[in-house]
Amino acid sequence: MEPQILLQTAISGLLFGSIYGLIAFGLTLVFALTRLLNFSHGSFMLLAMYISLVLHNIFRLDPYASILINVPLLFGIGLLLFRWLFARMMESHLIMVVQLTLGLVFIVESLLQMTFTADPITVPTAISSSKIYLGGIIVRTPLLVAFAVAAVLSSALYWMLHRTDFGRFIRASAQDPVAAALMGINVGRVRVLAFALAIGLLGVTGPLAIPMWVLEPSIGLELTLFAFIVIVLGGLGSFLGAFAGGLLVGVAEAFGHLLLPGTLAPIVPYALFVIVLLFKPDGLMGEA
Amino acid sequence: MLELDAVRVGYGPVEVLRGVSLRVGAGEFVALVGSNNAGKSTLLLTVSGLLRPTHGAIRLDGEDVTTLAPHEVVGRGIVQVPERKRLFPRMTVLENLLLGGSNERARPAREATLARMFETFPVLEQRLQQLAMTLSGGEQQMLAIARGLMAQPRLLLLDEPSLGLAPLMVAEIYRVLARLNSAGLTVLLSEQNARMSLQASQRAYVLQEGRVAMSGQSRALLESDDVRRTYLGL
Repeated sequence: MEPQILLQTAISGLLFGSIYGLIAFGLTLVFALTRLLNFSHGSFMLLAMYISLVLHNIFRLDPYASILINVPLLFGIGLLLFRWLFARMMESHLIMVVQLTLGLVFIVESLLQMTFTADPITVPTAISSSKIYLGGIIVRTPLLVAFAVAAVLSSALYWMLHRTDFGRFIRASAQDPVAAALMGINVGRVRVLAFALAIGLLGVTGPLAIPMWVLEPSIGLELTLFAFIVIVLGGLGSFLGAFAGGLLVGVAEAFGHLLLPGTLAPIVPYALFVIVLLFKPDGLMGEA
Repeated sequence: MLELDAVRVGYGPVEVLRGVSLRVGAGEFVALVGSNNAGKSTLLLTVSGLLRPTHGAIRLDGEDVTTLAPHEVVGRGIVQVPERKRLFPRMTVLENLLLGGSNERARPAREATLARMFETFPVLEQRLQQLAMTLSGGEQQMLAIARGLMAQPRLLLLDEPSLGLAPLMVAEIYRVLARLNSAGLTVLLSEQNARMSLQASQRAYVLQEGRVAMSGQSRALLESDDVRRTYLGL
């Protein structure tokens, strides 16, 4: 095989992995603060993509422009969802949480199926077929855009977590909610805002992924499961690890598709997951 | 300043505080003495709003604060220094201090308060960028107290500040507390180390199985036969 192809595969995988990284970043935020396993996380990214589809069909709005509408919308959904559902699950048994969030997955899936049928749909963007030539390597422009936005966003979030009062509130509430409350932090408010932030983030991630993805109502859970792999791989609770894990999984997936027949290819990220955890049970970056 | 009136608190069916009444006046240094499960920590957690009394009332300067949320209690100037293992372990010394001073009352003067903390606890300034979990036990207790002081308390609650510390370190902590109190800070201290806390405080309450068994001037309690037998092992 030509080295050119290998390099191209690695780069495409890395760029695409930034989307996984971004999903995982939000999921890490939710898990660190609430210890809730939210199986419906990916479903809201899917919802964001369908919102982009609607906005495109009705207003001819480019999916990239729909980010401006998607983010406040999903942030609002996140607020309501936490207030009405997740805040009440804080003390619940793990099984209850899994049941309820899986229930949400199927609600979103059924609503999407009723409205859009189960047929796969693609949504065009202004740059979907545009390519950039770097040396001998061809890179799809939407991949570069996705990576650039994801890199800037996760750096900004990382900066926020470490350099602002609100970010320190988030980390303190994650490390010890009782001590955080004793320091005068309104832990309930921090939780609801961080949860909404994580869901709102999907309002960016969804549209970014549109040029690379075919929309189907059933892929929500798959997205979540992939994101879980990413955050465990990166080291549960570590924000840097979540993003790095996303890149790694992106590369593994790309090589899977290059080297293995179609039906076998999807196992590569899972195989990587098992191998990393065999040698480093705490994940790549341990704890945050 | 602080007044507890027949406060009862339970975890489920188990009642831990069974009608506790006590009073802490402005500028006082009051100690809570009692064995391990007498209810001292429960009492402090209740004052801080983390546990809700089933009966009774808590008042601050006459205002009923029984049902306030923890962050609202801090907003009124009642600040608790919890056991030192409740520092934010994977945050730096500086971050722990900044968090202490982030409530609305304390936030405007945070930089100035921070500078004062470095005068009181010079060792913290040298450790500023170290993670809290890497400090020695004594340094962690210093940090826990400094973090509480960053919140600009009017009333400081302390839970077992001497627990697990070497005697020299304990003496140092108590010197700091005495200095803070003479500078005007009101202190309510919960301690298993009865001798130390009775020597440091002006008044004390002895808790036994969720009730106030004795109370009075610390000096008098220190000399009472009951206290000497039960808590000082004499």
